[in-house]
Amino acid sequence: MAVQLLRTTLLLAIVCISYVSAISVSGSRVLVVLDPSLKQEDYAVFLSDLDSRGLDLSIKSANDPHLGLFEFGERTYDHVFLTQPPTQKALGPNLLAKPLLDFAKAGGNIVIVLNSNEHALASVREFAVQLDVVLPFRDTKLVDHFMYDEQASPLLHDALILDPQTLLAPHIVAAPEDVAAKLYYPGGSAFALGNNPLIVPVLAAPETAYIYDPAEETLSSDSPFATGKQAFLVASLQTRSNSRITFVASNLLFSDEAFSKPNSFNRAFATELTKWTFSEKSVLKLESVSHRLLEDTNTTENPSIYRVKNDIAYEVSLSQFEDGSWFPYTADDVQLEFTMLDPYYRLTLSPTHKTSTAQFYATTFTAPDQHGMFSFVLEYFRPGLTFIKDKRVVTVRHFGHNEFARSFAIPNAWPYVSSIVVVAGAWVVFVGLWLFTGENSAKKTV
Amino acid sequence: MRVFKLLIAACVSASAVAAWSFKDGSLTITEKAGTLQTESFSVSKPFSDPIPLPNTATARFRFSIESEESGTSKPHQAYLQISDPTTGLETSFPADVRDNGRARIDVEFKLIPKALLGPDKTLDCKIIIGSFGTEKPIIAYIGSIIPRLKGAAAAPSERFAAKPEIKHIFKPDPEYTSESLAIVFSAAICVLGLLLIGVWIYLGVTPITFGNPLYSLGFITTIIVIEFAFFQYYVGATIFKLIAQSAILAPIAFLSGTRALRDLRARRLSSGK
Amino acid sequence: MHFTTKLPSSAAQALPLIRTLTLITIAGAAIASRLFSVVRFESIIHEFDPWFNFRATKYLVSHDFYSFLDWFDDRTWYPLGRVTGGTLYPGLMVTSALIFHGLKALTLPVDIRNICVMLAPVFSGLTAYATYLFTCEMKDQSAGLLAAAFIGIAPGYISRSVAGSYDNEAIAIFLLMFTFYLWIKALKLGSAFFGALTALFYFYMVAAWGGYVFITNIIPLHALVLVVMGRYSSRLYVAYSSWYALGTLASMQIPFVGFLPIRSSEHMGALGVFGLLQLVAFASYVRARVPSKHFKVLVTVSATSLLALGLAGVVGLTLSGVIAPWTGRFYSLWDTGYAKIHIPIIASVSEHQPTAWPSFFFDTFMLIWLFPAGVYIIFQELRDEHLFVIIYGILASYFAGVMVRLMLTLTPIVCVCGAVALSNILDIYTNLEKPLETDDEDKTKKEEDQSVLRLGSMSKKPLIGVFSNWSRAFVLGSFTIYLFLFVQHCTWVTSNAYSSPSVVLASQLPDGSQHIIDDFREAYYWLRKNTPEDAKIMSWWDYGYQIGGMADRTTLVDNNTWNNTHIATVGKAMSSREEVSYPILRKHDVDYILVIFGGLLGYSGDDINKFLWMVRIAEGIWPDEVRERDFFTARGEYRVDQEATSTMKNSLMYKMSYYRFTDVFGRQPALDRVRNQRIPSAITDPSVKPISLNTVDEAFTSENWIVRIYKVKDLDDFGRDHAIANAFEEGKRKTAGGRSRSAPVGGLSKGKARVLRE
Repeated sequence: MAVQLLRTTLLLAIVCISYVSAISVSGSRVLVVLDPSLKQEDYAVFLSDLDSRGLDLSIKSANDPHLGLFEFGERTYDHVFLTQPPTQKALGPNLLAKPLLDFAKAGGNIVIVLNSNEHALASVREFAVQLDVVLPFRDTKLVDHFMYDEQASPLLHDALILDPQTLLAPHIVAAPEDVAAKLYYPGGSAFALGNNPLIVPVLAAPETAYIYDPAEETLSSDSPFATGKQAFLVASLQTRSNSRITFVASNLLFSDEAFSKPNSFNRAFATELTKWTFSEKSVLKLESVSHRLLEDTNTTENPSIYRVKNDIAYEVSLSQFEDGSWFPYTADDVQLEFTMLDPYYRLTLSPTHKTSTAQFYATTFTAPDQHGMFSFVLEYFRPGLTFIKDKRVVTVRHFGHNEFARSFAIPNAWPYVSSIVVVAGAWVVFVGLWLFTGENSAKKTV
Repeated sequence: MRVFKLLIAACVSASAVAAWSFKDGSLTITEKAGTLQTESFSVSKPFSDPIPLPNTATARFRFSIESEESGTSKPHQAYLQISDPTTGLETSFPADVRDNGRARIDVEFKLIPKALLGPDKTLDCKIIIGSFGTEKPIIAYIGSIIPRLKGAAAAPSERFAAKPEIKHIFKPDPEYTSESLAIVFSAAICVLGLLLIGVWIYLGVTPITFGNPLYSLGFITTIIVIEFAFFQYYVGATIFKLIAQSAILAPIAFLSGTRALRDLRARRLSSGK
Repeated sequence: MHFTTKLPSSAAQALPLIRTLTLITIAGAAIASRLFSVVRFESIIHEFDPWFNFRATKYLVSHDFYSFLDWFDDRTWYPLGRVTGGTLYPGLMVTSALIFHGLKALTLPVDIRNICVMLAPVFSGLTAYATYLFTCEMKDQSAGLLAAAFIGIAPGYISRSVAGSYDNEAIAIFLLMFTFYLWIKALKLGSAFFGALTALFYFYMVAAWGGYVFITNIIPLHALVLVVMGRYSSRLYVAYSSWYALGTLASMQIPFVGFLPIRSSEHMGALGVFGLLQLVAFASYVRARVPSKHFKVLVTVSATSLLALGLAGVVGLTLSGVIAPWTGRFYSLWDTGYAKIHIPIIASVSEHQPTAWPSFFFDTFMLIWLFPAGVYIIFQELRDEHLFVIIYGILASYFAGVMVRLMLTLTPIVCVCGAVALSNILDIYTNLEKPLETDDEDKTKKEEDQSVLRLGSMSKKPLIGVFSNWSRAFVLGSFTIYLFLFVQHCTWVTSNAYSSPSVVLASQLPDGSQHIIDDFREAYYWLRKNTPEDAKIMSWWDYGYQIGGMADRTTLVDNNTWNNTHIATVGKAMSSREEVSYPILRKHDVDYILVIFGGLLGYSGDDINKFLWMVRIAEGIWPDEVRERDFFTARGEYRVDQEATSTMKNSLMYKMSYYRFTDVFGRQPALDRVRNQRIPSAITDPSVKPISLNTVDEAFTSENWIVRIYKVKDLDDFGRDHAIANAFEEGKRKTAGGRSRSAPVGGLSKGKARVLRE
């Protein structure tokens, strides 16, 4: 056990060392597609923030003909930060919906920032629809007559000041401790979301906000695209293979101007959001999984077969990636299912000991009185955290012929057992009597 | 378009204290057959009890929008917001506002989003009025409705979270009789056996005579050894051991047995004559 | 019979040698005629069930006996598993393993596969010997030799015992005949020793085949008939009691049988007769000591009261559930329509269908008309053992009429009776001597014979017989021709009907040369080499054993059919739309689906032809979700062409069978050669939508398309519905125009409720 522990720790240490230099678990090459209409100077702080985190930025223009996400079938970047050009009709053949989906499938992360003026292009819209994100119609505006920025848009009410305390996904962007902090939304639209469980909404519009189309709804809003908290400003999606995609409704959220406003939370928001999307935080890792018979600790780990009503011990360890290294991940909602078609057990694992990089969780239970192929299913799916899935099929066999209670342990059987003994004994006695009695007996017994 | 937007902005004057409001609010629940219920509400006074909305009915909201500012009674945003206070889900129905400020919103049952429907769910109704410019918008709670859903509510969409714990319930262990009862019966059987042996001895024992002791003794010894082999099997030896033992013992028992019994028969016949 | 030819004493001495040689030759012929498939194809295990037996034997050989006994099979019935050690008849595997280890001990290591392949032919030789012994007890040795020759090559037995047909029946028929022989012997001699031997072989039979119930019922029936006919004797008592007591105890040692002998209705007859015999024995003991007047009263009172008590006990125990009521398989023996209504899984097996009358002739040729003659001859004599043959004959004839597979139990008795009849004829017509007054030698011979009285009286009558050489020559000649025809017929049937391994198919090329269609093994080998070791394969249950044996992959259901619900689940997954099937597939961790499709080649035993059984079995469990009616057109036809119902066309099975089928034909009409229907093709008819599969990917299709394997897709990476994801991959973009007012989610569309993000 101690040797094993040492070994795992060593292994973890090696893993840690190899990751120490890496800022993100999936790599540091970022492609920033910046439209020429967006001046790099306007986003200097944001870009330098990215750069200072150790990311390797390649800032390219959307009409760069050499723009490509793949080369010889391999990803050329680890992350894409994609802004929308207001002028062009399309982003070029390398940024169509399918390459973007393939990029995410291949493990790349994507941030899509909609343009505050024209919003999304057809290819991005198509990409979004595949993910159950419905982008607004062109030229629509999000307004709120209750919470607008009185300085920025006293009449049009399209620049909003939001309360960062209403942020929806603490694992992606946690609400600031400073209650006076403000999130400035300098204008743009918002989008609607479907019920795809993989989507994690990050920032929703205020209850009284709505989206209208200035071209068609000049006098009154008679068919709003989305209203209130159903309009979303920022939403993320983590694919089942743990690629991360984030949609941001307006590029202005990341502008130097928004960063420099009083009490602005925007800069921290942008940092946290990109950190999450580029797998720099909230990344979990399953360090080890083991199950064994409870009573004897020296049996082989992870046996493939158990018996009905065996006591089983199960242990996992989880690590979390934060700021370039792995730490123990502690939570109280890690659950194990012991399943055959349906779960027979669903147990919350309790944290036990921890190493410098991993937190151990354990539980024990008795195998059900039903034989079959059972699975230890650890499915730790929490919004904003890496999906952890581990499924191990083991056989739970029936009692062997010599594993039942013996007849001398069952009171009901005692009369039968004693009958057998008596009959056998009496027979031996009878044979003895028959063999060794004298000649007279033949006369006596008829 | 931008010019037009500016036009709206220009229309709106800069007086800061003015606010939107409404009056003469009424809610009528109608079905094809006719009116079911009518309630009235105002900014400060919502209708008192939650109002049931049958699944074939329409809730018709009527109210007059007022602006403290002269010139217009038609705001850009005039919504009825229906929300579920337990989940926080909400949706809005835009009002059809005439120039004189009369607003009407007809909420057909089938237009209420599925996610808001459920058995005995009470939904809050709020009216939101606001527009560009500086006039103060208003959001006012006007009461609750209870949509009567027929059939099962739509299953909620999957969300990742911890699930309730499950523990397997085992079948009860088999029940045994009390040990004392078993002992009594076993003892009775043993006594019966002893009794039987006693009767044999009483009836038939004469002085022991050995015809040819080799075969007889061999026979009974083999029988005892066989019994012992069976006992070993019962205690836990493998069947193969028993088979091997029997393979050796059975011929011995057979040979010695036939000889012993033949001797015995001969002796009995001779003594019987 | 009584015209026994006198032989010189030297010839009489040579007779045993000749008999032995004849028997050896017969055994050789029996073995040789079963080797067609090995010669034509190769040494391969046949069909379906033998693959399981083979797999179990390999397990037994590679593990020890006790782990075989406790074997929990986690490669079948995923995820339920099967307590295989406790739910099989181990006799066959243990026999093979014993032979294997025995040969190894003799330094003759033989591959276990070859032992398994050759086991059935070798045991057929033993069957011939057992039949010889049995028939000798009925008539004489010449009839015995004839019977041995008949059973050696009768197609009704060969059908289940060719080389490679490694099934329980391979050894069971030998055990059946040998047990019967021992029973007759025990009955004749009144010997407890033979009774115990009967019990021993009965135990072997119980260990080998579920058909042991036949013995369990026929021996008591025989005893009962003897008692009722007033032929009770102490011999019967000894034979029956020793057999029943030892045999029942022994049979309970087989885990699969367990407490059935005292708990199930099928075994109650034997117990009842055992009780009755005790009563009768007691009664006859009392009769010897009590005056007959009292005796009669005593007997009537005690017999009626005991009978009533026993009956009431059995009925009461059955009602209270202590004794299991008759099983469905048993009911289907009496009511041929029962299975189709109540247990479609039994009815779906072709060998459980009622027998067509030509198959009696096909399987036994001339013996089927010699059979009644033999029964008649036996009836004339009617000794105790003859009653047995008559009872056996009647019961087996009935059962063979109900179920095709029970032809097997009929064949031995047909051979025995046929041999008795034929040997009788030969006895009469080969006796070249003129009848004489019976001399001393004849008399001593007749004393052994119980029919001495009748014969004696016959010999006093005017002589009746056939003395004309012409008629002798005619009859003998015609029977010689019959026998030749019989051999020819048997060889022909064996060669053409019963020697196909069905794993490998043979066809003739236009030039007459043989062409082997090896799609099954090709596909199973593909599975073995290209899928992960723990991959779960879903297929219809027919192929479960073969996948387990040849591909070594985990299956959901197999030919064991112990869990009807699990089979129905597979049936439902196959017969439902993809959206319904996919969650079932996910829940059962299915990685691959295997379907058999014969449409391209004209292989009629494919899954589309079995499809209605899947539907029926699924309907039995989910009558609301799967309906057989939906798979028939309005006119009640089962079609797969453009007139097929939409339920049919949308079922997973249909889609997997015909997926890209039309592509093979190009502009030609896509003809399904099994059903002779044209599959609608998108190439020739643009209005047809080609079959698209959203939740599975085609992984493998064998050379002749007989086996098609599909891989079940994982959940979509982006949380999309598979249909949407597939449409996107195929380039059918979801409309999402820049100014479109019909947003699918979130947005407002007139007259419809919004979909909210919850």
